[in-house]
Amino acid sequence: MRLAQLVKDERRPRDFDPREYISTWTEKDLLHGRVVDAWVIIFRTRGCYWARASGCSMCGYVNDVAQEVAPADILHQVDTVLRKHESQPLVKVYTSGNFFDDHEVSPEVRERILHDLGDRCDKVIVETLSHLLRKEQVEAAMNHVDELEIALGLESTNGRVLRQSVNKVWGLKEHAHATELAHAAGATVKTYLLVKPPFLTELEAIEDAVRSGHEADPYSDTISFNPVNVQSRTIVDRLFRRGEYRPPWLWSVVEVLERTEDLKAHVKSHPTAGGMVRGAHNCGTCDRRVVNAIEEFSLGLRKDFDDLTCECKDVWRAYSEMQEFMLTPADPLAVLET
Amino acid sequence: MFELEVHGGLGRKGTWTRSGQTLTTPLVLFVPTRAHPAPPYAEALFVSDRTEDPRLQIRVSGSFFGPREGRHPDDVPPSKGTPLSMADLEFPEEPPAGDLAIVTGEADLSRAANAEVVFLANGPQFERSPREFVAAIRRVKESLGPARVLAVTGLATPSNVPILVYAGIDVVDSSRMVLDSARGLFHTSDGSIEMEEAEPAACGCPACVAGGDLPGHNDFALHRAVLLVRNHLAHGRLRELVERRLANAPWNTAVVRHLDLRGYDLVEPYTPVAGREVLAYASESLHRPEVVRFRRRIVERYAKPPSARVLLLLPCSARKPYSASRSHRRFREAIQACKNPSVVHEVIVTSPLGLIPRELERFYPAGAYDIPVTGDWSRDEAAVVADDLEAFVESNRYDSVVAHLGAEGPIVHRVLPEAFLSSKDRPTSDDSLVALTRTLDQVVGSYGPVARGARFAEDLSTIARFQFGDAGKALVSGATFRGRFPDVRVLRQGTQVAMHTGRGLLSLTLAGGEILSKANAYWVDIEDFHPVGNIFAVGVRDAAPEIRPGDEVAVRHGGEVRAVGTARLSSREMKDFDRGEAVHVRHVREASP
Repeated sequence: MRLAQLVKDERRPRDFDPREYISTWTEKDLLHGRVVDAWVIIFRTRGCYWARASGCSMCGYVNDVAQEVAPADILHQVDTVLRKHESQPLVKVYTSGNFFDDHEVSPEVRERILHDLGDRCDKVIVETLSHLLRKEQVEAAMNHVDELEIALGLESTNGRVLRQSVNKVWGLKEHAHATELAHAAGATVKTYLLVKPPFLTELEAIEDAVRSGHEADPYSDTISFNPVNVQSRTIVDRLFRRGEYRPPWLWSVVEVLERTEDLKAHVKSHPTAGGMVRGAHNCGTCDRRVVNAIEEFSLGLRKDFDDLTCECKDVWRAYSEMQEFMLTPADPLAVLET
Repeated sequence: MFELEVHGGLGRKGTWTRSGQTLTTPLVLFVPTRAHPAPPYAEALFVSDRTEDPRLQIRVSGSFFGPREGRHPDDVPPSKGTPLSMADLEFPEEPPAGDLAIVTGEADLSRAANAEVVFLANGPQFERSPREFVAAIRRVKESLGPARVLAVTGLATPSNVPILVYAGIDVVDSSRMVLDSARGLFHTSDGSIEMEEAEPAACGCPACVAGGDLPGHNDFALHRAVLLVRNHLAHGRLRELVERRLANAPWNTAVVRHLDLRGYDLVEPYTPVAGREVLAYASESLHRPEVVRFRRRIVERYAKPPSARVLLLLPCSARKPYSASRSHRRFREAIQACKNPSVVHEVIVTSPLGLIPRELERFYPAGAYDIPVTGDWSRDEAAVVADDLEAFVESNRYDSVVAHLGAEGPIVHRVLPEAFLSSKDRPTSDDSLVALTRTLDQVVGSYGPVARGARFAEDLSTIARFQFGDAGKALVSGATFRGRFPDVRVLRQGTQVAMHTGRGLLSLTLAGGEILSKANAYWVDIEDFHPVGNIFAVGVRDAAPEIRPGDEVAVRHGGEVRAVGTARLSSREMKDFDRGEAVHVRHVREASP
């Protein structure tokens, strides 16, 4: 039984219209120390080449790689979505893959997107796998935008976690190299780190995120901790359905943020599906409060979490500490009867 | 080092010596937490950081993904980190092997080949799959043998711990108590309830008396439950305790069912062939290994005495052996009053054992079992009798069958409509007893009388075969029998080979041991020494696979029988263990000068 094969066994191809972008919305983010509206656009592309070859254990986009999307189709998506711009100064551009993969987003299309968005916004954020980034690509990009931030999914700095849990074959070395390229060209780097990839106990997940944060700090301008959420037809989903995976407690995310206060990079977290069973969650009573606090912290609106408490904090503590003795990464609350 | 003291199927009470500490199993490893240090009664601790505490400390080491530093001999290695459904996921790095081993998937078994203690990973997940729990235990017991101390963590509660031990677990931990205490669950030996609904005042444990500290209560409840298990093991009553806990949770019942219905081959070899009275009070008692073994031996190791021509089916009695009861004494009088009692074969119809030929009435557990008697037969009990009777008359041909029964009558009648029914209202009424003699007279008259000694020899031969299989036939072939039943000496050419006693078993002399050894049954091969006392497991090289605790065995070296005695262990235990008494010796051969 091999992880790469399990990722493939789990996936189910999804149908889509190549001429329609996936989604767009506006959220709050920090720009130059101020909270501003950030425009999020997700373009439809042929998807992530790694997802095609193998795929990450928590990534739902592995189900989006069945069809080709022609450059003309992406340009059509650009034209459609640009009409929705409402003066947001910050834009985040995602594909179900890598913005700097020439086979996924051709250089022409990439320049069109950057040009059109650079015209309209002060800062553009794009995402890619670190080892795909080339010097010429970043330099070309800088011709079209004032400020460029390149988001890189590092996930963890622990090689075992990357290979045997996330199913990635690159790590901090490739990440550091990409950061060097980006910085040399005048771009900044946002590092994504996972909180609780599969197979890690709650305690191990906290320790892994904290250590990864410190190790990635020299190669990051922003570090965003991503609590793993359960996306359909992924390894994580397969484990979740069997009571073998629980997304992290929000208390764990809080602890990670508290213990990475000393980083020079800006530290933040936006828990996807926070407070829901498939996202980072607590007991149900305190979830809204804690998610809001994490969002406030990420926007620089709060410095600590000292005011937060709930009865479930004791359960979280016992849960985190006991999994190691139970010799299991499974969710004891899901599998144990009362 | 583990030494077994008492069996209860796969369950056992033993002594585990480690790091200079001598511990009794079944054992709880108590997990201390910051808020709750390990209780004073804890015999061993389960820690993530070592302390000065003088008690044995087993330390966990995280997982493959986040291993803890340090390699103390009492550290469990890092766990693999994969859950049950991915237990066999291939990792490029193999987990370290040591004498404390964690078994996650099947591939880990070979790495645990030298382990003294085996921890089953993903304990809490077994709660969702009792079948997988039994399968995991089977894998360890079959591939690594019974000498390992077997541990499961994150699973034990005061309610399920008798079942865990019965399934073969020696060591549990208190991590589930720590988690459940934080969840506000109040545990009792019959399950858990929310703390708000609990009545600590009604508990009486030290923690509750002192004011209701929930973690303290739950730890103590688990401790007390394990002490109770040990106590039941010491008194040969583990199965009875297990049956009392079945109704606590479907999981408890499911595990025992998997063991009873599909794990007989796994459990039976470790189940003693002699012991305390079997209290068969639950419907599950029908599937106890002792019961199933007796019924199987009736099929595999039994043939009726050849001169018996008339099968007489009788009801059981509360008093054991049956022949000591008032009702059976009266049956006996009625039988003796018939014209030719020597061709009558009495077989007792009973639950849960099915059919018990009179000559085997002292054999364990026929001579020692108890059931509630209301005269009601469940369908399952009736099916046992019907199935066994059908098979019995198929392989044991009688000329006629007389059924002198009460509530069992209709069950027998459905299987054998041609049987003569001799009982009127109650089998023990005067009218019924008269009818019994009269009915027998109708069917025994045409046979010549069988010499008393001949029938007696046949009866003892069936006992010998029931106890030793076909080797038992060799033991009594051409033998003469001296004494008054049940105290009978078995002689061949003037030499005593065995003695039958009130326990219903034949005990061997050295000469009897020679015969068994030649027949290739119930032998224990030892190293080259002349026993002066009991045989210890460390001196055993090999043992016949049919040996169970309680069996009579011949101890030999190089084909020379050097002692006879009673097995304390089963075959594989004698081979695998390095400690403990394997054979309790009765006679030794003097070393030739």
